Parts: sequence; C-alpha cells; structure tokens
Amino acid sequence: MINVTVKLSADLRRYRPALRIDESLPLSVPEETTLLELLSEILQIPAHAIAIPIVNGVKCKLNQKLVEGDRVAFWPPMAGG
Amino acid sequence: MYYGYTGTILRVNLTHGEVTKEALDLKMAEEFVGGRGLASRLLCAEIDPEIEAMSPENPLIFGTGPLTGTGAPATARYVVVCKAPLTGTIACSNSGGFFGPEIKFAGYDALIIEGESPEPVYLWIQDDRVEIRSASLLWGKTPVETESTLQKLTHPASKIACIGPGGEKLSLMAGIVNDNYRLAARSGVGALMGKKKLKAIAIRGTGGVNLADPEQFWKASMDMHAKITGDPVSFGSFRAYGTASLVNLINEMGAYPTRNFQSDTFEDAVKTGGEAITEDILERNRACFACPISCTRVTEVKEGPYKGRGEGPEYESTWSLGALCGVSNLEAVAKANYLCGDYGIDTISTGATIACAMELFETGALSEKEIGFPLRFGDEAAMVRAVEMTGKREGFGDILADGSYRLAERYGHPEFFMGVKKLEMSAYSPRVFQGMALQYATSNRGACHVRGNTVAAELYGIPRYMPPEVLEQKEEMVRRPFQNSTAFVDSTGICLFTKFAITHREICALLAPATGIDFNFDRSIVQGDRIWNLERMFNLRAGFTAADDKLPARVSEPSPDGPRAGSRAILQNHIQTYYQLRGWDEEGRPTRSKLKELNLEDFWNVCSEHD
Amino acid sequence: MIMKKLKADVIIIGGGIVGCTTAYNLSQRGADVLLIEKNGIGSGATGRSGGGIRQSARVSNEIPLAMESVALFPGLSAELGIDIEYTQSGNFRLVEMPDHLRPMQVDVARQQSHGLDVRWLGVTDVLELAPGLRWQNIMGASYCPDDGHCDPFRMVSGFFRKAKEFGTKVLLNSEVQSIEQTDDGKAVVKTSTHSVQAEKVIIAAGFGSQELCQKIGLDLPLQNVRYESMVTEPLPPILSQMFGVASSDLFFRQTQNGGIHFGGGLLEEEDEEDTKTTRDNLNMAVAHISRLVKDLGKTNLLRTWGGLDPSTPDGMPILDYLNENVLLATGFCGHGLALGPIVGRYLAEWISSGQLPEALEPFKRNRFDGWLQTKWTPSGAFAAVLATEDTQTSGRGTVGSGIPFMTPPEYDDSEDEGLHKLLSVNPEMCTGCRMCESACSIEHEKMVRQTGLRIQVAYPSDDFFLPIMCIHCEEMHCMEACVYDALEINDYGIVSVVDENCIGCMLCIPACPTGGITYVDSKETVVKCNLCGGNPACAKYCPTQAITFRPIDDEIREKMETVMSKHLDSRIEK
Repeated sequence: MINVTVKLSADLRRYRPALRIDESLPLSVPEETTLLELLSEILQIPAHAIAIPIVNGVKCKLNQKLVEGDRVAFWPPMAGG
Repeated sequence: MYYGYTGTILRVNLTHGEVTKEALDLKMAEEFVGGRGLASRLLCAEIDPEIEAMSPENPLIFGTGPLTGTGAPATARYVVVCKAPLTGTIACSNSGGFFGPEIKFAGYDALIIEGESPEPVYLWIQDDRVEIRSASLLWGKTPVETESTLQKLTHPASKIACIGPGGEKLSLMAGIVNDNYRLAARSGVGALMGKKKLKAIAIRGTGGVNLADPEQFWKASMDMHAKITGDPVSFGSFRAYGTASLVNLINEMGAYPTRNFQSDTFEDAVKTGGEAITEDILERNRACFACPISCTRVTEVKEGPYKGRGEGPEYESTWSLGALCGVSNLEAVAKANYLCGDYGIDTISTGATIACAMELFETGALSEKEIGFPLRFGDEAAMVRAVEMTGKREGFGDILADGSYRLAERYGHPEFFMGVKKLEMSAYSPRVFQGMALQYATSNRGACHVRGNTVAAELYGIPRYMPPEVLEQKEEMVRRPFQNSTAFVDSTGICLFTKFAITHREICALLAPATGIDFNFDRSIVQGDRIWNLERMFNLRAGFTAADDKLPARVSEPSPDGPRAGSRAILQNHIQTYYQLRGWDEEGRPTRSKLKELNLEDFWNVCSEHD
Repeated sequence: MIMKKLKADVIIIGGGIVGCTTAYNLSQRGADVLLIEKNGIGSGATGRSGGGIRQSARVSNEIPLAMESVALFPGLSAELGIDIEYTQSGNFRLVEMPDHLRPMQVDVARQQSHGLDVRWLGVTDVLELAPGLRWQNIMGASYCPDDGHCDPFRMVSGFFRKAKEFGTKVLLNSEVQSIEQTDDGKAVVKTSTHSVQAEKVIIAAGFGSQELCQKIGLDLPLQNVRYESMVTEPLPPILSQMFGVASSDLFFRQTQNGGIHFGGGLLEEEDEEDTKTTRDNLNMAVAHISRLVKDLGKTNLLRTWGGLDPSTPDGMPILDYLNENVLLATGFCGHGLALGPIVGRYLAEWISSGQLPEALEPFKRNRFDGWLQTKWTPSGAFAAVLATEDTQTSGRGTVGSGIPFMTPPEYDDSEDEGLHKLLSVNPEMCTGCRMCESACSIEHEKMVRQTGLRIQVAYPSDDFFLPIMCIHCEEMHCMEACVYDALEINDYGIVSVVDENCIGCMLCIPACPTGGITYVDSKETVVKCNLCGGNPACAKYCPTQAITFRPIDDEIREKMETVMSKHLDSRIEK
C-alpha cells in the first residue's frame, strides 16, 4: 500500500460534502493504482467530471500510476482571469 | 448608413471647451476593427509617442468595438487608450458593465478627450447633445457616490465612467471606474483623466446599433449563446466560483506568486480562494450587458473591522492583495479590494506595490519611521492601511501611489520591482508558466495577463495542451493564438472570457452580419497582427527597445519551494525566435517588408534599417 | 371475538432492535407509543445476528450514519442500565486469496476517502493484533480499530426495558393483520385481538416487513437473505476482535463467556423463509473457520440457528414514508444492530418534528424507482460497492450546495388546462444582463437599443434586478384608458397595439400597474409586449431562466404585479 493525499476542489466537493475546503483526504491505496482507478473505484467520481488532474503540482494524464507520497488534486473544467 | 459601427467619433477639447464630431473612416475601421485596434490607430494619428504621458497633448480615447452593444453574448466592452502614465508605453485598458454599450447607443464609436481643463469638469453626453459641466460638486467623491450624484444631475439611467480620489490625485495606478465597481484599471489611465481634471463622463443614449443583417446576426449570436451556456467553464465554474476559483488550482501547481514573488506557493491560499469567497462573502452574481456568464460577484463583509460591500475580489485582486502580501484573511483582502474600488486604483498594481514595500521594509531598506508603521508580509491590518494611504496619497501613500517600479528605484532596490516595462506582473508565475514568461516580457503594455493568457494552453488545454515547463515551440503560440488573437478580440467589443467556449471563427461570424463588412477568419489573423505591430511601433517610437523585453532577475532564479521548486523562467534565446516569427529584427523592430505586409508603413520611421 | 380498541400516538410494528430503539427514543420524548411484536423481543433478525458493530465495509452512503451510530455505543451500557457486552476491539476483514487482495485494498482506500479510520494490514500486523489466527491462510486484512461487537440480546432487551420504563405499551405475540387509513387522516392497525388507532405507524418488522408493505399496496425491492450461525462451548480468550472474510459470508467473534460465535456461508439454497439449519452449510462454515482460527479441532458446538436478513439491492435500508401515516424502516441487510441506536434516534426526531433529518436523506425509497424486482441479487459482503452518485455534470449550473441562484429550478412545463402560457418573471434568478432587452429589440426593431422597448430591466439596487413588461393582467386598465381603439385584444386575452389608431396620447401608460407600456419617440406611438406571437424572444434567450414562458395562474400573476408595481419608480422612462 502507498500513502497519498487527495484534494477535491470547486464543484467536485459535492462528492465529499463533509470535507473542509482546506482539507485533503489521506488515503492508502494499492501499489500501481492509476488516477483513473483512484477516481472510479476508490472515490467513485465519474472521470468525465475531471478536467484537470494534478499530481505534485504537475498536470498529468489519468493513466498515470500513483507513487508513495503523491499529492493528488482534481479539478473540474475551469479557467479564470 | 452605418452598421455595427455608429459612424461618429466625438472629439472633446477640454482646454478650449470645444466639441466636434467626425465621421468614422470605414477603411480604417476595416483594417483595425474597432476597440483596441481602432483607438490605438486613432492615438497614433493624434500624437508623437515621444510626448510626456501626463501632458495635455496626450489624449484619452474611449473606444468601442463594432460588436459592443449589439446584444450578442458578452458584448459589453469598451477600451481606454492613451500613452500610459505609469509605463510610458501605449495603454489600452478595458472594462465591461454597461458604459460601453451606452457610448454606442448615444451614437459614438469613440470619444477622444484632448487638452486639459483648468477646473474639474464632467462630460454629459445625451445622444448628440454634449455638455462640459463643472464637477466641483463631485471632486473628492468615490465612484459610487459620483454615480448616484451624477444620475441625479443628469438622467437617472445615465451610465457613468469616472475617476476616484486616486485618479484625482494623479496616482499612477489609477484606473477609470464605470458602473460603480468596474475598472479599466491598468497602466494608470485614471491618472491622465485626473490630469485633464475630467471627473466623469455621463452618457445617456436612446439610439441603437444598426445591424446589416439582423436575422443572420441574431442566428450567429444565438449559436454563440448556446455554446456559452453549454460550456462547463463559462457557464459552470465562472458562475459558481468566479474567476477566483483558480486560486487553489494555480497554487496547487506551485505557480501562485507569493510575498513579492519570493515563493510560488502560498500556504494559506485556500482561505482567499473562490470557494472561500463563495461560502463566506458572496451575495449573488450579476452580469454585464448581454452576458450569459455573469461572473461578477456581489460580495459583502457584514461586520467587523473590514465591513464593506462591493464586487469581487476577482482572481488577480485576491492574489495581489492576498498572497502577494502574504495576507490570508479573506475579509481584509475583500476590504482592500473595496477600498481600491473606492479610490479607483488598480488592485494588481496596488497589491504589488505594497508587497514591494513590505519586502523593502523587511530587508531594512525602508524604515518604520518613513512608513509610519511596520509593514510586514502577512500583516493584514497594515496592508489595508497602506491601501487607504495609497488611495488618499496620504503620508507614505504618496510614494506608494506611483507604483512599485518607482518605489523600488527610490529605495535603491530596483530588483524588488516585479514587472516588465514598469507594469507589475499578474498572478501566474513566469517561473512555472514559460509561455507567460515570454508573454510578460514581450507584451506591449508591460507584464500583463490579458494580452495573451497562455495559461489557457498551458493548463486548461485551450486550444491545445502544451506543458507549462517547456518553452520550445511556444513562441508561435504566444504570438498568434494568444497575443494577436487577443488584440483582435479586444477590438471587437466582445469579452475575452467568452473565448473559453467559442473560437475566433464564431466571432467573425458575428462581425460580418453586424457590420456588412467582409470580416472573416483569415483577415482577423492579419488584423490581430497589425494591431500588435502598431502598438509595438508606438512603444519603439516612445523609446522602448529590445532591452525592455526582459523579466525581473528574480524569476530567472529557481523557485525556492513548493511543488515546482527549482523551476525558473528560461526565456534566453526564445525572445530572438519570437522576434523572427514576428518578422522583426534582432533589435525587436518590425522589418519594412513586415510593415508593408500589414499596411503600416506610413508611421514613424521605427522599422528595421536592414531588411 | 370482541376487538379491543386502543389509541396511541405512534404504533411500532416489530420488536427488533430498530423497533425497540425507536420506541425508546419516542417514548423518551413523551410520545404515546405502542409496540406490536409477532413473537418475542429480538426474536427475528436481531436475536439471530452476529453481534458485529462495524462502520467498515459499508457502502459509501451508509458510512456517515454508521460512524454516528458507533459513536453512541461506548455509552450504551450505562444509558440502558445493562451490560451489553460491548467490546470496541476492532474489526478485521480477512483476505485469503490473491484475487481479493487488490480489490480489498482499493476498498480500504474508498472507505478512507469517506473519513473512516480503516487501514490495510499485512499478515504480520494482523497476527500481532490477533494471535489466535492461523497465518498460513491469511494474506492480510482491512482493519478498523473503532469497530467492535456486542451481545445482541442484551442490547435489544436493554432498549426494550427502557422503552417500557418511559411508558411504551406492548402487545407481544400479536401479528398485524391490516394497516388502514381513516378518512380523518389517521391510521388503524388491526391484530386478531386489537384495533389500534394512531397518527403514525412505523413498520420495523425486518423480514416480515415486505408482507406488510404489500398489504398497503407497495412492492419494494426487499428480499430475505438466509444465513446460519452457531456457537461453540466456552473457550479461553483467543480472539477479541470481530472478524469477517472478503468475498465470503463467514463471520466470527468470541463472546464474553468464551464461546466462538460464527456463521454465514450458505451452500444450499433452502426455502427463502426457512430459519432451520442444514448439516452441509454448518459443515462448510466449520471447515472455513477451522482454516482461519487455531486449535478449533476438538471444540464442541452448543447450538445452531438460522436467520433471515431483509436486504435491498444497494445494501442500505429503506427509511421512508409509504403514505402520510406509515413510515418504513427495514432492509438493513444485516446492519441493523450497528445502525439501530442512531436510526431509532433519527426516526423519533423525524416523527416528532415532521422534518426528514438530513442524515437519512440517502435512504429514501425513491432511489429504487423503476427498479425491476426480478433483476437483482442482494449485495453480499464487501463487494457491495455501488456507484450511488449521480454521474452527471451538466453544463448548466453545476454546483454544490449553498451557492445562491446558480441552478435554475425546474418548472412544470406541462400544458395545464385552463391556463394560458404567459411570461413569468423570477427576479431572484435575474443577473441584470439585459439579454432580454437585446432579444426584444432585435425581434421587433431589427436593431439593438435600450429605450422604447417592450421589456426593460430595472435596477433598484446592486443586487436586485427586475425585468418589467406587460403581464397580461385580467383587469386590462390600458384598454379602458384608451379612447382611440388603439389597443385590441385577441382570443387568448393578449392585448396589442394597433399602430394606425395610436396617436401617442400616452393615456394608457399611467393606467398600467406594472409599467408595461412604453412610448416610442421615433414612432410617436406606444409599444407593448404581444408575446412575439407565441414564442417570446426574451424568454427564449434569458440565460438564467429568470424569464420563462409557461402556464401561470392568477396567484403568480398577482405576485408579479405586486413586485413590478413596487419597483415602478425604478423604471425610468420619462
């Protein structure tokens, strides 16, 4: 098992309404878990709700595998100015 | 009969109290579209860029685009163009609300304000009747007070653009405020309005905008409407969380400049982000003219020392007054943001200047005695106090009011100025977003995020995803889909925020039936390029050189911490590649053939010697 | 036989854990409660249960409720005045096969993501905490330290006795024959001997509930799942925790007197309603537990029994009203013992306040609307991980709770008999963008303008915007005011301007209560809304549905008239 943290922002917070905005979820997940598996199997959030997956500050693809200590953050489609 | 355009330019000379009307040169409009392009072109015909910005010769041009006020989605923008008091470059600040469309309804494409009044005045434009009236009653009033007073003095439905006390006191960070809270903020355009002693412009227009092919126009407009209301960004996150929804995302990427760019991650960002704003202070959304997005946030801090009400803070404001000053108290940030509105000063430059002063203070270059109180990073009360002093030009605020470039120079630390061409950078760290680094360095009005927001490509993947950390092949991206495209969009009168949902082609599909002129996609590319080059030539003539296309030294050093620790702005030879792509020589000057291609040869002799 | 008539505030059918906790909570609040039980207290699923009190290995939507309930357990013995033999020693879910390893680990992470303290332990860590296990057949386990187990009989009788102390009346050995509604909004429950009238009836009859639901004409997706249990002679303490096994029904624990209480695994499908045990099933369970626990070879079994778990397709109970009087609380899928204390508390709150407690929101029966009765099998063990979230993120107003004005509420678009479609305005939704003005002026003037329009947005303040137009009222003061026959009315009651007749005298303008008529300088006539001939542009292009075109009644019209005339001043046409 590896330990990662997961942050849900903006609209995605409705999937874990009890989570405070400054809180991230500490999770231990099996080795080789991909972001997609994290979403669909563990968090049970539909992948199409995610536009910007970020791991350790870097935007990445959903087939990326997690490693120990990863900071994962998911964002719905968004932009700003 | 004019379509899209109204066909008239209003010229007001404040020195002589003269009002004249000129016909719009349609050929010029066809080349420069309107708004930013047309107003810049008008400016270049008015002055030699070498003049002093704060002189009576420098006119203040309010421009609208052919789509402004047409009722197509988000067609609310007007621009203010002049030689910038803060930077000495060409200035083009724009704003939404309802003032822009009202200029069109009153029958004008642009207002050129020349000269300087000896006494405070305001302009009352009611369709074709134009009066210059004394503003002695209004002087010293905040924009909200000015608007309500002027609506009593003129017409209850008149739309107002004015300056706040900051502009009156010639703060180089002053903007022009319309519809109470909206600012054409950057480059110090409000200072020039203050110099002209023009407190406000009140407009009431009962006319309309003619459309060449109303049916086709409305069809295209509704296609666009459907695209925007179907888009998860424009109609989703912008509405739900406003622009500040970005705070946590950019911070998560380690690209959220903090404490005057000393770091790129702010540990308390979440406290001042879009979610916090929505949960803590949001009252409701409101919209600009004809805009389905309605990203404006009416907010209120109900009690406590930071009690106040207004709009925002938007992403940039919550950053500059928050993270950049190390402040994590949302209510203090909101209050500082309301105060900036009350004084009519730019939130980005104000926050950045205070952050610069904080660094000067912490390094000992600036003493407590000079400021009057300790001004440390993270001290929210001191930050709010500094904003107030800046707006009033009170005590040390007198120095702050002229921006961070002059502040840093004055206290012997020019390296603490975090900007380009005297304009402070915005909330995307160039150490992480390499495209933004190049864009900041080469932008015509100084470091600015809305001249080419490459974050769209480097993060959201619009038009396509390019990883932020590389600069290879981004020169062309910065040039065309961002800088040139933005120049074109700003010229049409449509809001840049629609660009997340729609493309150039859709804007062109509106322009043709609105104006009856053959605006099309291919021409829009040349038009954008032409406008960009014209602005560049203005700057060259004003004395700027390739040496000014550079970033502050700090961002070329590795980011000290956060998820992107070690990353830095790379620029280096990429500027030369960018010049080449633009058709410029290594000094950053357009070649003669480039100017010929763009039909810009008639201007000052600033082009390259060798071809 | 003469029926005895009784009255009560609330009748609870079922003397299991849910019935007793609810009776306890309700009578504690002063309600007059009658508990009717077919056999004896705890004689159904409660008394036959495994005794596990766990939060782990639950479906996502049930985790919060389970966590709340488990928080109550440490205080129960004191509260009820009886030792319920509660041990908060943790719950293991053992993994025996490599195939189950990863799914179990994923499931641990899923539960963590809901804030539950549950972890994955390798076999060494498991053995350290539970030395009574045989390491040879174990690959690891999920472990939730806050889980535990208790004695079901002691617990249910504790609640029952307290409920009686608070005044709950009881009918034991009484089978309910009918539940009826009276004309005056009450319910009548009949047994063979009694007829009881009450405001509310709670069906908490476990596997007897479905039959009762069918009696009042509802067929819910409830199914009874059989299991078998047994207990050994007392042994010295070897296990303190509660144990379950991945992808198997086997559970086991050691009771306080030392007996190993275990069960689960069904090999043979007997009759659904049967509570007898079978030799094959028992043999299998014995073989299974022997692989996992040390030194059970020579132990004697004392007692065996079977039971039924009323189950639902998604592994969660149904807690919802069936009609105005009858509240259903069943389908606990074997989780009733653990959830009982909190469910009893919330049901009592719901009955007495009339408000559905937020925590019970996920358990409404409408989640099974359209569910095909025949097409499901009850969820077993930890595989019961269902995607219960709505997976839509629509473009329109995709927002969480607490964000004002962003999601347009649905309105009924049905063609209501006797109501014309008219423009309806909801100023709360209006963002003040004036799209309606643009749409209106292009529709009627073929250009964009903002004066002389048929609709106009008023801005009384910076956070209140109000589109104002003719609301096609029934009084039609405008027509009375017009002396030039310049206003005509069509079959649908829509008044429009006859341009040829209008001389621009403006008499109709002050007559209009909402300010819906405008004088146009350039035309020298008045204009007003004519609903664009049946497809109003303003409603079509309003991005927030602040303006809608739909059938409205007089009440809405009056409301609109009031709000518009109140803000008439802010409509600024001179």
